Amino acid sequence: MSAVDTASLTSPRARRRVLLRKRFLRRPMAVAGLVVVLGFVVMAVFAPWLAPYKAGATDFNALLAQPSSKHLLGTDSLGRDELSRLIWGARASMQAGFFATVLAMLVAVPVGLVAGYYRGWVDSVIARLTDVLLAFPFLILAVGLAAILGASLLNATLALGIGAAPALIRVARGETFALREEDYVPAAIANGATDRTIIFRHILPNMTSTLLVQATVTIPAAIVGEAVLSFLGLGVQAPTPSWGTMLQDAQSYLSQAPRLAVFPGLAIVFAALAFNVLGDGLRDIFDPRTTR
Amino acid sequence: MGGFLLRKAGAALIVLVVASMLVFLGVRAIPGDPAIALGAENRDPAVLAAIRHKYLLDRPLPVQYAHWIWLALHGDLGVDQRQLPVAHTIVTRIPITLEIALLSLLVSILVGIPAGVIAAVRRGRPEDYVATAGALVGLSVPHFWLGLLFIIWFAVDLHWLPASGYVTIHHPIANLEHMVMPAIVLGTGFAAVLMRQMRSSMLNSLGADYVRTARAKGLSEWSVVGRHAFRNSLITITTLLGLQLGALISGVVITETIFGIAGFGRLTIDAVNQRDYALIQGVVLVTAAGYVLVNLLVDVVYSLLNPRIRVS
Repeated sequence: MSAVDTASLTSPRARRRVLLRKRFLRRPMAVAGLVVVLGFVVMAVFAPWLAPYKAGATDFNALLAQPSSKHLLGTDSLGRDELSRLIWGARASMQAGFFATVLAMLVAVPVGLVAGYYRGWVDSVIARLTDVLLAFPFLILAVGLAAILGASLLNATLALGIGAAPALIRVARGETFALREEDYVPAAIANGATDRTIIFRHILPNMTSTLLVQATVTIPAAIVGEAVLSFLGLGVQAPTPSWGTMLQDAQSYLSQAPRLAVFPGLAIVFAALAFNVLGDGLRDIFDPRTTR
Repeated sequence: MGGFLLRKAGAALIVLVVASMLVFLGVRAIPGDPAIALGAENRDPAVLAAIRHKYLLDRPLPVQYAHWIWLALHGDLGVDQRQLPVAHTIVTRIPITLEIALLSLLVSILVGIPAGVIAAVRRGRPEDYVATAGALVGLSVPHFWLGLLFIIWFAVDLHWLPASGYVTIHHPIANLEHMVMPAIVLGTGFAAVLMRQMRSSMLNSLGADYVRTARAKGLSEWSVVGRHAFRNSLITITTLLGLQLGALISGVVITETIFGIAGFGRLTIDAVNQRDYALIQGVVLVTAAGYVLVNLLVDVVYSLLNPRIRVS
């Protein structure tokens, strides 16, 4: 950045934004990750316009058909267009990834803030409760929820969100612990700020970058989690398309049509990889030790 | 040391008690009258009352809970829909699952730790890039898909390995043949996590003062890396094992489902699909207890490796 445009940006916040953007654009992998992520989001949102066929449209003259100009990726055992189902399937994945992460954040961030800010017995109680939550791995949680509430995308998302919360609680708590020691906290106290003001106006904004990075890690985990749950029959239910249910269907035709097991898996890998690469890039650019 | 262990054991006990309450309440939250289910849909009021009395369903929840825990502590988790004892079913399934879990841990340690060390020592060189990219892929490829691909390649196309099933350990070779794919599939994710953690903690150790001192003393590079840097990185790995346990449990369930292995994980899914509540309750309780106990074990090992933890 030249001296001239640095001077023209007086607000430190604006200057930081420009710096972060420059750093981001210098990382081709991170940019590629963002592009692929946006691609999947567009795919999910505009599925009705992008998909050549409806998700449930069957073509009984083309069962398990090889890829052709009519069906670019071929068809499944019911003659449904594989490409269309992949595009529609992005919806379940993106929904689960996004909402599970939002849910986890809504639960974890306030709890982590309180634990890290007040410490003492509050922190101990929260730590024990987090341990209890951790004793139920997400799949076991999903199993329990499916047993109580029935299997659906919503319940799978709930399980994924609750399952992701303990790790986020720990991150938010640790971050609050450190931020509490910053000079602006005593300064705010001297100004007569309440605990609430300090937590939400001073500490929370300072951990947004950490939370953003955490989100880019949680989303792909939830996307894979949704696929797993749907694959096991604990998530999206047929005939709604999801990459997980598509793989479940493909399992019966591994020798006749292995490609049916390949494409949905590739979609999951690309989506997860894109978020992970984007997350790695964000972690780098927010890292104060980064110089480039 | 004793005080530290006692505190950890106390915390584990609290976690276990709260977790068991959650399991108990969770099963009670399932819609439907358990008495009707237990009475094989017989709706005769006299029969239902007798069942309620027999299973203490007419008593307050705390009494029911205490009774359930009392029986569980004596190894009685009730009977499933087929009137088979749940505890017995679980005990017969656990060795199979333990075998998969241990073999997959072996795979991930054999791959992840050397890869992480090499990547750290050769930082910024091709070896580092290959290992780092490999770990990223390993993290992003879901096990269950990898499992399907393995079946397509090694079982359907090449006929090298059996696609599914389990053979008891009494036939070691056949047993291993059936275990190779599940162990690798389950191991890749953790290998990737291990590699990344090992790389970053090795980089930290390699930059530490004591490593510079060791180099200044003229120690060989092998001794610096192996004896000084590596040892300290092992502490991080132990913690990671505890943290990854949940993922391992989830992974086992998936792996067993794909490879058609009738282990504990498969039992979990079957229990839900059959809506067998006694079984679900038992399986979830055993999972939570196993998780807490293994974590306690990890804490103990951790304190043995790192003396600073014991006193703090």
